[in-house]
Amino acid sequence: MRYLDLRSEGFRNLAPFSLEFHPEVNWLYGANGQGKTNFLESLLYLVSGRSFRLSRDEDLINFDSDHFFIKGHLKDDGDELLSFTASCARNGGKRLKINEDEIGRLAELVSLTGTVVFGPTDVALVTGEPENRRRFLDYTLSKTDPGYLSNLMTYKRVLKQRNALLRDRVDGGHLAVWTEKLVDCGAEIILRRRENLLPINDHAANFYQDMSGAEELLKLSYTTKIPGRDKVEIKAEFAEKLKELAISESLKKRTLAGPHRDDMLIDIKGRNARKFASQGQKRSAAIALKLAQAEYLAQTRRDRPIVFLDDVFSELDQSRREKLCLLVGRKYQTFLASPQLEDLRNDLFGDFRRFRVDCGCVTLES
Amino acid sequence: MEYGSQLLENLIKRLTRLPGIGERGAQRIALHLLHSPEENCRELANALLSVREKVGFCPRCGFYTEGRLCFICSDMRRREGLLCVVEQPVEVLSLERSGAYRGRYHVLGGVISPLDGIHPEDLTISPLLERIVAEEISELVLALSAGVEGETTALYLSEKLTEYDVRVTRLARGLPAGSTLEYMDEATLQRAFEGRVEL
Ligand SMILES: [Zn+2]
Repeated sequence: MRYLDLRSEGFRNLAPFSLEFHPEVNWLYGANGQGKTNFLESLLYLVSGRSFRLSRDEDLINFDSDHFFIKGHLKDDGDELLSFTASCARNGGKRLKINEDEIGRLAELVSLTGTVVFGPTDVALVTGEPENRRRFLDYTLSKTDPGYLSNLMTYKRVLKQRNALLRDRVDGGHLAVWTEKLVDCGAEIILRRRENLLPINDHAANFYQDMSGAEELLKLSYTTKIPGRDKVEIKAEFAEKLKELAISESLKKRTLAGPHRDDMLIDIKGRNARKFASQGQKRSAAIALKLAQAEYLAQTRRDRPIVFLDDVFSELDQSRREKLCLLVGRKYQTFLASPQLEDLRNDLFGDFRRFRVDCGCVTLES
Repeated sequence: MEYGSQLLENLIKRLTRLPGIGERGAQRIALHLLHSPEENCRELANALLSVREKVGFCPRCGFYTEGRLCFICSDMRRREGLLCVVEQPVEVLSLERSGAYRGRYHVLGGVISPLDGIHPEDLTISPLLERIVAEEISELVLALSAGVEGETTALYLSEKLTEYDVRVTRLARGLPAGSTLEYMDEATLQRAFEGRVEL
């Protein structure tokens, strides 16, 4: 997918604008707090129906306005033109349209466009809690593996119900059915995460070499307490594990095994990157993961994702900055935001568009 | 006092609390009643009160009734030995209108949901098991909503029922996820019945 144009009114601090974009690189520059991230947010909102910063819809409306309105045209890789509209009023009237048809379910919108966002906190993918890495896998798979998201939602709901039951009473006579449901959905998640991780790993290893320049091997592997060659075996192991944990679960009052406690191990040169890698290695690894995500989305969806680089330069040295920009800028439509003109060489890309962001005004520089 | 009368305002406020009625709708109804003959208002008020006083739930199946057993339980032309399990009485209405089903019903009173504090003993599961024996039920159709809770309740019931000599089916997955029977159109319900699957 790529954006052709975007029109916006009343969104965050941004002055109304109507802009056309470059099919490859769109570079936004301006001091922090002027509206760069808000601008990226409006682009992301239109194709996902929600704020990537998880803000409430109402908080996206400009102080001086009673609603916001965003409309843009995009083309997919088959050159089909799509028009997206999103609006929200302060009284809660939110409307999302594709080609002038109001959408019924958010999933209709979300499934259309792949997006990959690089942000300044992405290094948490490597250094942070396992939840960061599970979210990375879940997002990638929900965009590429049909049925993954709905199964994951079911799993989360069953998990919540099962935990509520463990919290309120030891059993109540129906823990077994919740366990059965949990095991069924959970085994599917483990299997799919494991299978999809293989191609993601290959991409990530390649990109890591590109970024680090060295012959250092990056390897991703799925870690779980629940082994098994196929779904039948995983189900049996999962059920067995929960049986072993029955007493601990009744004491701790929550579910103690399952894909919600798994992790993705990142090794560099055979050592756990989370513990042993240098700052530079960790940053390169986080970028390699995101690049692998973009590549995997492009391959499996047969439609390239739109890439957003939100202020990632401050953490990177000049050579990593430029490598990253070249790796994404030539392949995907890219929106990159940086505070200073000096952040990138002017001749880095053959052709691109540069926008200046100042006090909420976004203007094209010729 | 926006309406010039505390009584009128009070009526509008009460109407707004009803499902599906907004501020404007409440105002329209209230003003309509105000301009109607007194007789009409009295009849409406009586209708409200007598529904509340005289309509209860069938002790056997849980559907609405004025007397003891509801009209479905006392209807001798219903297919014997067949029960359809639904969550709420309102779903009996939808199924009856569809005309796709000629057996009797059992209203469960909800679905199992620990998050809402609803456990099996809060539902009419024991009475259901008693009915299966007493009424010699040979087939049970589970018509529960398609969400996680509906499916888990169906699973719970089908496991309870393995000890009984009864065929358990559930409505085919033609039902969109998250939908309740109340909002199904008749054709969809008919298809769901024809395609019911063994559990
Ligand atoms: Zn009855």
